[in-house]
Amino acid sequence: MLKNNNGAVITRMAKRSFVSNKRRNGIMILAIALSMFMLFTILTVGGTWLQMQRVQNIRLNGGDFDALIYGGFTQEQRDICEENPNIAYVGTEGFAAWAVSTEYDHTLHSTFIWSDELMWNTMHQPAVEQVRGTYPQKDNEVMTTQEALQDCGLAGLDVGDSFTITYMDNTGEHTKDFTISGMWDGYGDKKVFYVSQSFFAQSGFTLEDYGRGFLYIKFQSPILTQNMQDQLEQSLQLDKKQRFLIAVDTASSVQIFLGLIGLIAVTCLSAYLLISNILYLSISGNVRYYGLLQTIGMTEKQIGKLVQKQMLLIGAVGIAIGIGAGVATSFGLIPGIVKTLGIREADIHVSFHPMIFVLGILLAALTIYVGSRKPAKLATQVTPMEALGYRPKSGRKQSHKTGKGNLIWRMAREQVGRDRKKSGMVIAALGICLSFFLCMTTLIQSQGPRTIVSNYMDSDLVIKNDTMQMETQDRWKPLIDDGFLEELRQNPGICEIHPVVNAQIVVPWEDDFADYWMGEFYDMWMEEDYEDIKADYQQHPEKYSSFLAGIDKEQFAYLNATLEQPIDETDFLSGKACIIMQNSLQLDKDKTIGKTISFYLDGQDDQDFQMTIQGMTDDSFYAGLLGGTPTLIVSDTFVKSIVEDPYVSKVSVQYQEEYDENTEKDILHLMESSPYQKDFSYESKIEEMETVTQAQGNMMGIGIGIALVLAFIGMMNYLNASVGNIQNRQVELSIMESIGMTGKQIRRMLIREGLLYVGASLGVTWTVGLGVTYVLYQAMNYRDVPFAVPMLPIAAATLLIALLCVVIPLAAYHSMQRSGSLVERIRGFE
Amino acid sequence: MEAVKTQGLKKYYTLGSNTVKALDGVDFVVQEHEFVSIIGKSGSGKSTLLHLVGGLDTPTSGSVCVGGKDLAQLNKEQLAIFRRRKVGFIFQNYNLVPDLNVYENIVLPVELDGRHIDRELIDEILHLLKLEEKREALPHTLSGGQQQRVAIARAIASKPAIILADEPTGNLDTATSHDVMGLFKLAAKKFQQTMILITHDHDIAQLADRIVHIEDGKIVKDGGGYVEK
Amino acid sequence: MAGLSIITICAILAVIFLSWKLWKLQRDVYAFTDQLERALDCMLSEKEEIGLEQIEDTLWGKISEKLQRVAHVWQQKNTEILREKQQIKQLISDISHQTKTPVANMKVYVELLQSEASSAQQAAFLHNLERQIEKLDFLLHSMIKMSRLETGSIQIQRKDGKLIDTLGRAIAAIVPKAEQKQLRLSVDCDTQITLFHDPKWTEEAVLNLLDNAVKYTEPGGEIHLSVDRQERFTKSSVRDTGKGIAQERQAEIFTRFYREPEVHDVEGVGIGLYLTRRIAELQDGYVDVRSTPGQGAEFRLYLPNESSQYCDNV
Repeated sequence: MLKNNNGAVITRMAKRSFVSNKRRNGIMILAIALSMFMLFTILTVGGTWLQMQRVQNIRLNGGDFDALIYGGFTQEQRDICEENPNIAYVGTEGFAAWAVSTEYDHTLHSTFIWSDELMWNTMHQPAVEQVRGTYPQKDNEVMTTQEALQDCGLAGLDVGDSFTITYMDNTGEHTKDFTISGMWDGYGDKKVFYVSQSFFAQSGFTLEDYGRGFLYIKFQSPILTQNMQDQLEQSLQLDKKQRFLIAVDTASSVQIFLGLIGLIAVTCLSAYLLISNILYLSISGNVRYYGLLQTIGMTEKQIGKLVQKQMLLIGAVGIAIGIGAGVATSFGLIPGIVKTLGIREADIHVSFHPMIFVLGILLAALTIYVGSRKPAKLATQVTPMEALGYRPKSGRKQSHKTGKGNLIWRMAREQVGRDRKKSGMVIAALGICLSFFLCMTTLIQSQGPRTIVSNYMDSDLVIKNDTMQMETQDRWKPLIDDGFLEELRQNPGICEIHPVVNAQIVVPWEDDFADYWMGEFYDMWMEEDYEDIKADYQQHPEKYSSFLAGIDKEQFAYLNATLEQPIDETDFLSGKACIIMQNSLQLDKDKTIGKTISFYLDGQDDQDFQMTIQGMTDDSFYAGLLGGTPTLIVSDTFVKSIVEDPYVSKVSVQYQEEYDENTEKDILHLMESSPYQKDFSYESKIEEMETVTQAQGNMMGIGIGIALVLAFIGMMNYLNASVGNIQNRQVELSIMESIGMTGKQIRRMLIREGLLYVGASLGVTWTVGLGVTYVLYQAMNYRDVPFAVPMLPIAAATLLIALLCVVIPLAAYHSMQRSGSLVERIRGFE
Repeated sequence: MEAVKTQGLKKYYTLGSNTVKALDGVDFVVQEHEFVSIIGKSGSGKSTLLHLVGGLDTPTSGSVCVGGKDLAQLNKEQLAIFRRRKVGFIFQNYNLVPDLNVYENIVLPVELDGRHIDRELIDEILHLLKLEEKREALPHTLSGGQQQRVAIARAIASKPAIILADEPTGNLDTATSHDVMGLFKLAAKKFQQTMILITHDHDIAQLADRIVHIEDGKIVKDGGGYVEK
Repeated sequence: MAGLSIITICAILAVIFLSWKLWKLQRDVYAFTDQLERALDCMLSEKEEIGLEQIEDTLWGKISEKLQRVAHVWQQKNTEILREKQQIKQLISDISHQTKTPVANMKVYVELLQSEASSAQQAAFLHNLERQIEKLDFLLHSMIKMSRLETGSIQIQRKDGKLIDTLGRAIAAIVPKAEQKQLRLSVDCDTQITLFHDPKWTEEAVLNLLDNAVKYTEPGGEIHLSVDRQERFTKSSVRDTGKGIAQERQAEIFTRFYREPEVHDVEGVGIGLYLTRRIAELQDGYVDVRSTPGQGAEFRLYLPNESSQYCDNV
């Protein structure tokens, strides 16, 4: 059927009402503009962050890949990767040789690496800024950089030039002439000579060798869930030496992505609530108007179209303003936000992808559409009879509980409960903004404690003796001697100090634990096989020396509390028991706990000591240099009893007052005045705190910004609802006044209504909001910090909202009161 | 042909536990070009009759035919279209669309139907109802009498089969009432409209060709003599 | 590549969508015109209800409502006109009734007076009066006849009959007048010709033609009536030797109340030829004239030979 061409009048009416309903439309346009602005900003931040992230990763890694298998790989593993649907492509690199010397330089750091075609052409390409010549095809061709040439003392050579170099591969040292087939410049490791596949084939290395073959993986999607990662890792069946390394940010991108989606959802939800509520109010306040239109022959469809067209106009204007504001502010705002999200590139290029506009507009349009659908339906369902003043029969019977409770409270309660849907929406909007604020402040405030791997025993300062990183005891220096410790103890600002004393020991081979440990240790950490060195270890255990770490009573108590099974204190203090450093090994408890370990001090193999291993820890605080055999944590009295004046490797210092900067200054001064001042290093809680605070400050700013926008939308919702409400009740209120309710009583009733809204919103916040916050908190709680809500900001926000909720209806009532005499007001609306 | 014909028209409302018989069996015919006034006290059912004839409400039983159409067979959508094509309403409180100016209000039903606007006719109506000066004015700037004249113009402009007027002078003072009704009758005769006028005012009612008295939902007197019941 | 294929797919989808739209539009336009045509057919055949009105928000709904309204107005006008015709018919029959008796009475009284006329002058006046009364009588009769024909209150009753009988009665009626003017009257007619016609009104038509010929032919002239059976029509022609009719007036002479400007003195009201034409038309025939000024005129009445097939349309 040909449609009737009667659309023009509807468009005109929509335009007219757009112009004439300034307050309502203004609020809606503002809400849509703000939401659009938020959506746009969120999407742009997301987009920019993703892009910068990629650029940063590419520059850091020297190529565009998301994960790599380190430690060699088999052909099967490569096949598995290639068949995995989540993987876009894989590239390989083979380590072919070390550069040893040229005639100009004998300390070379450059390496010879073969990149397969895909690796060079696809993965490296984004990190390469310029390239001349071609990738090597023949044995004696290399592709290199100026940096590599410089390293070899060959600076100035270019494509086509030749040079002679001595290198070492699996077959030994060779000296050979090479021709430079190409030069490149860009990001990544530049001290590299890229060589041909045939060169790699001759090197004696294979891709399966540990540290020789590298498999680079590029995923299909920039986001990879933990589940997918685990599955992939599982399917690869890595052996112990192989590592599956995910570029760290690929994993965290999921979190950031979810966060952005969450923000988008919250924004859309609050915009939806506002639009829906305003329209609902405006339409239910205009029953007469819509009924009249039906009376003179407007069909339901036409009324639906009228509302739609009104929303289209409002939406278009709002979206345009929002995008305009978004674009205008993005240049300043977005680089800052992106930086706080962990991008360190100095030059942040804000990306305005057309998809961001499309997606933003789509989301906003969808929100508007969904928000206006139900109210539009309401408009079409108005019957002409209602418009003629025949009140609709209210289906819900109100129960009037008489007699109980304060009259004014009761009236306020009835008022709020009268239109549950409307009240519910207002409460939901307020609740969302409060909840969001709660969530933001809680997460940001706890950011420090939750994420920072703080100092040992939560101490304020840890002073370290750097010389103890040296391999042999004779190069150690007594930085932290008794005098130094005494000076610390004397300092009035310091509450306690806990030194760690060390001694070098040798753990001779035995069939049981020592053998088991070394096997595990070599499997995990070393290139060689344990079997190869086993004989050497049996004969010369002193080459595989390790350390004793002596700790005092308090330190023991702290450490013991972190153990899975606390050990006996007396045994430990008396030197019968020890705790071993796990060094990240997955040790079998049965083969470890309860075993006896024997050792002797380095150079004193005549005196054997024996201890039972009662516990193990992975706290790296106690770790010394990896010698091979296990590091033993014992009591300091034991160490002092077998060694005279043992070296102190670390001292943890606790101040009287946390974050006491003066004390810290004193200590730093003490270190500087020491003759060994260059060999000190320290970890300061104050300094860490400063970096965290800085990051927090930025996040707090953004968080409060978002919370403010949401709060604004929520408050507008409330404002609109309460002004509309007062207007609708004008007659009712005036009648009450006429039968003797004083203005004071009415104001008291309005205040109570406002408080009821606040109370209900707080209820939502403390249940749903708190629940969500708790879940989010625990998901990001890496250090099991107890959940705590920062009360002060929340209380302030609550008070502010409560104040506004009370003041707005009062102001509306006040302005209504001034609008005319009692009689005029009663007549006001027929 | 009859412009309006009702047969056994009944409308009952349920208010709480008791039933109100707003109309209780009304048989009523209006010929084309006839001007009928229905007079009755408040609550006599006269407005209900008008609503049923205008397709604003559905009867409990009985039938209403307007311009040969049985309203019972129309759904809500069709009723709306029926109203804009066949019925012109004039209400006590004018019911003009506040956003639209006088001219736009008058042509609204025509435009809603997407029909061609007969500008000459509109000009004639405006002239007849003395509204030429107010063409571009918005309703809230007009006096009551002027607003009601706009409502009359709107009812006539779509050339409906029937004009239904419900207490058109209810909100006007006596002098303005007579002014408005005079113009109303003039316009109706000139454009040969069929009209039903509802009023409780005998002064206004006597302008009609025929007067129908209604009491307690029943017609008690139609034209010349009282109806036997 | 991917971009190009996406654009191609979009373009193809758009083309399909637009073609579908166009097809639908075309179908709707055809449906619309079809409905419009049917509605117009109904209106043309003057059915009471065009029966196609749709209460729906479509173009057809809108147009059908208007058509219904137009049909309704048309219908109403028709009834009104019919009613007016009825009233005129009534009026005419009233006039004829009311005037018959006075005219007849006047005739009687004039005759009485004539028998008692005392002087020649009186007799002359009375004679004049008699003539005027006859003229009035004739006029009234003519007008009644005409109005009956006009309003359709005269029913043509056709039957098969010999044309010569009808013509004979007409000639018999005109002979006295012709003799009075000393005109020579000749007839040429095949006595076997039968025709499906209304004898009474055909006689009237022919009589009018003859009367006309007599009126406009100078004494001593000649009037010839001939009948000629043609393939479809039977032609009865009346030829005179009068002064003829100017070319430019030939079309006008058949209209009501037309009088030749030069002949106002001749008695008549100018409805004879008009009546003749109406009678011919009512019998599916026609009348025409052929004349050269100064050389007489020939009026020809054509009546169909086999008119039964046209009868129904009357």
